[in-house]
Amino acid sequence: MAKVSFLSHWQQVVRTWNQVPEHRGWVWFGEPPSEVPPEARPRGQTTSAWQAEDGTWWAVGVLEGHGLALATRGADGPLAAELVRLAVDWARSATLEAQLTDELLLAWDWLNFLFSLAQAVGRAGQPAVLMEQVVRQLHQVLPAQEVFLVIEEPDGQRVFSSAPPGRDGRNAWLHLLSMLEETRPRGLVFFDAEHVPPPLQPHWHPHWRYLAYVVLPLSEPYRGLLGLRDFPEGQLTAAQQNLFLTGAEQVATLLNLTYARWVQERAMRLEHELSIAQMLQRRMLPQWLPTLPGMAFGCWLEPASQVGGDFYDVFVAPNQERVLLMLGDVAGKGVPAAMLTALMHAAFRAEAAHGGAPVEVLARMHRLVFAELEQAEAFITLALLEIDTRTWRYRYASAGHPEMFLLFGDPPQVLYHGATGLPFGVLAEPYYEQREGDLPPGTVVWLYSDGVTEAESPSGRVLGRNGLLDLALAFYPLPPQQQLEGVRQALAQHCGEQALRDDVALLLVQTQSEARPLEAWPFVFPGTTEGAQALAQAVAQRVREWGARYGATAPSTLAATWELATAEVATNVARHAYRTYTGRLQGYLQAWPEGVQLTLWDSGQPFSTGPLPAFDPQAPPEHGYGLRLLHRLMARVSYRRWMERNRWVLQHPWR
Amino acid sequence: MLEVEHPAPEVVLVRLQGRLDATVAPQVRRELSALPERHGPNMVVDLAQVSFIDSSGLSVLVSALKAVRLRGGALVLVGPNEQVRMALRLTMLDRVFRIFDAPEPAIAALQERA
Repeated sequence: MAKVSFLSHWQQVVRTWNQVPEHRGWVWFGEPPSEVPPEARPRGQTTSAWQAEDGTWWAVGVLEGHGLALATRGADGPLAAELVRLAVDWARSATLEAQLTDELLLAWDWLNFLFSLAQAVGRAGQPAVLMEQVVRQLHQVLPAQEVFLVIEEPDGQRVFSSAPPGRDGRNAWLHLLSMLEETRPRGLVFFDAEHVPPPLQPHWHPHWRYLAYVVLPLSEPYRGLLGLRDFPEGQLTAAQQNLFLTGAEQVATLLNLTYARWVQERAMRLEHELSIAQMLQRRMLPQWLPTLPGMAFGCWLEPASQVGGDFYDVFVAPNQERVLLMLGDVAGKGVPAAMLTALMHAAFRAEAAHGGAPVEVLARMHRLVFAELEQAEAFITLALLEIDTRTWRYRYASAGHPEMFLLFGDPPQVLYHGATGLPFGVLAEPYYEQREGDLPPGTVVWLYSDGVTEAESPSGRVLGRNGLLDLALAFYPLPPQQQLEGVRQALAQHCGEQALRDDVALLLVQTQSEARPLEAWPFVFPGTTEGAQALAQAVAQRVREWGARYGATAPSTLAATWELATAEVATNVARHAYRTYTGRLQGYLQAWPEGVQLTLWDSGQPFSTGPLPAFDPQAPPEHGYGLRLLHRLMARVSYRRWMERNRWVLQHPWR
Repeated sequence: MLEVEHPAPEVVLVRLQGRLDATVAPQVRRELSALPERHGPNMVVDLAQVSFIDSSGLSVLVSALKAVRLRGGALVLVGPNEQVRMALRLTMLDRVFRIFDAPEPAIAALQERA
């Protein structure tokens, strides 16, 4: 190397340094620039590495009145110190016009190498890019035939080599890595062709002469090594060895940093994407349910995890004469199922507007989505209900969707409809049938996914078809959204701490009857004596509020009357109907212009009572006061056995 | 739930608290039934702190009354609130039990009897 003014060399150092983000460098003569903190300036020629309060690293060197300072906000403060030391050393020897030794030449090359590394880290998000650069740069610095880096990541193993593909020894290097487990070498390992370790021998090329490698101190779960093949005379000078070892350490530090950042970025991106997906999915559901004369809707969807495979949608024809409801379930969970729900929303919205009977809409929707479903190997069950608001008749078709039912009449009767064809995605040309019927006033239609009936309690018991019917019967005349609130309470009590296994989706339609209460409150309580008391107290609270609102003469007394009456009937259910197992107390409380009504359903044993013993004050009976109280407290008490369940109705006027 | 005092010979004073309902009735019945043997046949049941009574609670009182009568004693009630009075009235048990406003006259009446 020709004699170069060290100043121009220093300036080149600073120029390169300044190209890296968050790095700044200066060269000066005499007084340092004001940016260089006084604490960072060295005494004499020695360089210093000093960290300011704001985290900035400073490395400053001085020689013959000239100064060099490198500052960095990044993690490579020690690197800056090393560079400044080398630069000053180099300048010192250059000034002395000493013959440049191999060590100094190497130091200069090494300086360049470290610069490139620092730049590469600044630019490269991917570890692979960094490793590519490392082997290429090292190959320019060290006199080896091949420089290689083998790395083991969770996804697999990779080899980076300075030799062109086909001329590299990647098989050998992979085996070298697998030998690490047994050998666990420390420091630089070196051997020549006569001393190749036996496991490596099958992969050692005959013209290879020497090998040197060092284990990279990488953090879990990464492992790797850095190696050199075939250097002159099979010897590395002490300086070369030192540099190689230090270099390996530096490379490992940079790799750990890059990996850590990369992994963190990936996790953050995934989390971010999931929350966006969740938001998008929620937005696809109808944001509001239509208000139509004579009809009320209720809906509830709860995915089991962040995004789910259940979906529902509602279409109302512009003239409001036709309403189409859809509820469906993609087999599977997580992001793939969620993406298919988007497809189903799109298909529904496209086809519902084109009119036709539900079977036709289903067939057209299927034609739209079959290709995607086949590719995704997915099945979708789907129920479609069409209501004609002029005739109040319905038509129903179901692509494999398990069940739905309607409740109508008083006391309500139930009508079930099962699937009328195969799920989507099974056959290319499926065939669907249709059911139809009337919707008299007060009818409630229940569309739901099997996540509801299959919800498990901590002991593994499912809610079941009957469990859902219990709730549908118990809440029958209430507004649909309130009915679903009752279902939500019941599911929460049923599942307890147990998380939902599958998505839960419910869509209710009710054709409105003439009579509408002033207030309505659905309830679900466990069928125990404690549950009975809790119900009684909750009823009392509401009666007190409603009494004050609707003109009861003595709201507190009325509340006490209702508390006792409710306690009696509910305790009776808990003790006798649920003698052999514990069920639920479910039903509703209503405020009417005339007074309050309590409707209580249970699914226990039938109620029966013999004649009550006559009351003799001289010898009062020990039992039987409950029913006496009930009848004396309430204006009207009625009991009915219906669909293998018990229904109690209590009524009492405001005054 | 239940406090017991022995204010006079052969008279036991029982103070009940809270809700006298189906959830606590079995336990209260057990505890009351043990008292006559230990403390003598007359019982004053102070209901001043009872906020609510239902048919189970009433049944407990009647059971206690029977146990006390078997031993030749009497049972009286003290200080029922409006809700308890309503329950006693509707079941006509207000004709069965003597009701006092405070413990002292109740204890005195039982002592007179003896």
